[in-house]
Amino acid sequence: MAIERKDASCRIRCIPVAVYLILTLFVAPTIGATDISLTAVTQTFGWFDSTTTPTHLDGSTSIEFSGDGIGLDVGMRIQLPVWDIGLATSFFLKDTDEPLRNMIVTKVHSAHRPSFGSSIDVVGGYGRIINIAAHAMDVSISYGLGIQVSATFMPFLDMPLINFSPYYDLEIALEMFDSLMISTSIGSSTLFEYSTQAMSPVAKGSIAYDLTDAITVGCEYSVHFSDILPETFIIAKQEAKAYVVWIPKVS
Amino acid sequence: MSYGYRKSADVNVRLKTSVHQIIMYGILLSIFLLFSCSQPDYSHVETRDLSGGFDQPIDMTGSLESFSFLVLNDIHFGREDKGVYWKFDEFWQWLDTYPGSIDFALNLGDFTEDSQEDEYLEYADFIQDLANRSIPMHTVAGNHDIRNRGRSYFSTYVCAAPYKRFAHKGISFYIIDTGNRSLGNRQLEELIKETAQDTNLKMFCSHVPLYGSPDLIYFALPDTQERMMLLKTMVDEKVGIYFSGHHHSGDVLYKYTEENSEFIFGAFHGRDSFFESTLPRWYVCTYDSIKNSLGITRHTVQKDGSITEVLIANLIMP
Repeated sequence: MAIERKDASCRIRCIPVAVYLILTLFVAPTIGATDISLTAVTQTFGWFDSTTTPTHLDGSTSIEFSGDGIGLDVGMRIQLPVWDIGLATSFFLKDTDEPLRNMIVTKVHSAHRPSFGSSIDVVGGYGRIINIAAHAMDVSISYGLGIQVSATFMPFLDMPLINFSPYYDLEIALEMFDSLMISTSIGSSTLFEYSTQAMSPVAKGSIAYDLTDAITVGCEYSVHFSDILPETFIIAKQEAKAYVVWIPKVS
Repeated sequence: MSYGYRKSADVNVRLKTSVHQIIMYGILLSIFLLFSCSQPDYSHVETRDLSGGFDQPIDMTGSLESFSFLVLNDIHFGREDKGVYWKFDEFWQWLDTYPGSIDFALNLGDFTEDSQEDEYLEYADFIQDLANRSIPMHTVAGNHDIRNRGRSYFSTYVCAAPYKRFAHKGISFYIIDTGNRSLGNRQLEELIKETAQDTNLKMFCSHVPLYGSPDLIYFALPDTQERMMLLKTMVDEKVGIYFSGHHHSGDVLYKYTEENSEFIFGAFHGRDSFFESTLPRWYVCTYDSIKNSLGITRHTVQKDGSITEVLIANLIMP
């Protein structure tokens, strides 16, 4: 029995590596096959406090790519003892002349907690985004609906624990004076944050300022609720972070 | 959601919005603003600093004995939803004529509908009726029991601590507070610490299920990390079973390993409606010290008033 568990532990340790390889294999050909280009590199530093890990520092790096009809965000977060890898893509449908753009949203996420286990989340959904240009302000509203499938792997489980839950997302972003951006969102997941059950939303607010054409700085605060009802939820996780975004010049 | 979606990617589009799109966005925006700007009474939102503890002294001499206990959940005193009904007379009559011995009763939460004081008082009477029959009640707080001033009423009429443990005939029962769909940091830490020092066979008693099955999209603990920590504790520390309620249809058994399981009990009240069609139920769990197994027997009040008895599961304990 002990040997079986050791083997199972090895398999689970391999899961994040496998996800990373799959993501790399998926991302690299996508970038190579299209005219997709690097849009931004974001580095965050912050603090988090959760039910399972009391107050701790964390950091993440994510890279954004975009091109004709596709947006892609891939990143890694270290929130010890948990390691997260996330990939999110937006495939825009052919309606670029319309004020709103329809898209297919897909996400893949893997979290690994050494000596405990790993989890994988996969999201598929339909989204819409609209950009409204006003005199002194650009407003962007986006929303999405879909389905999420999650799997939890632990050494002693013969089969992973599978969960189905709805995917939902709503975001409003305001850009003012060509340099200041404020956004707020609520949804079932972010690039790194997921739950296995419905109605445990993540709410987020951020403010960012374009220091130069190439550098944006900002800060963000997010909370992950245990339930949606104000009468019964507690904050399962809260994060506060600062970030720097490097936006390369488009040639 | 706009991953990789920046202005440089040609995203500025002209404003040409049709009427139905305006209405749709208006509705979405209204929902968002209502959620953001509503002013609920946050004074009762619990912090993670619940005033419980799993440090009650327990007997750990390891002398296991066979015994039976009653399990019920989701009574929902005060519920007025369509189709909800109770069979209290049948329950008391059954209890008074039960041929075996019942050492104690376990209520897995949601004994009120909206945490009102009159609902708590009804439940206090229920506990007293059991006590009059020499059956002490141990109660788990459910999500319906902690609304408004619910936690205050819980400590006044039910138990001072929202989470605790007790030992009976060699088995430790951990009463876990999952009313918020999470244990919270302090309770989780204490649970892991105290179970590691407790050498008894253990049983976790919760309102919200741990996992159950893939289709419980709202009815289980949502945090993957918290679930992993609880599961590992169960396997490492001789926790044979995780009892839960919340999912009224119930009767869901999931075996994590041969010796570690979860069972979701069905609601005590019956309901005959489009959304939920269940009969009033309660259960008797019997621990067999010779076989080191736990039998779960369901007692259901049928439409004709008769009570049927079915052995739902017989589970090997660690």
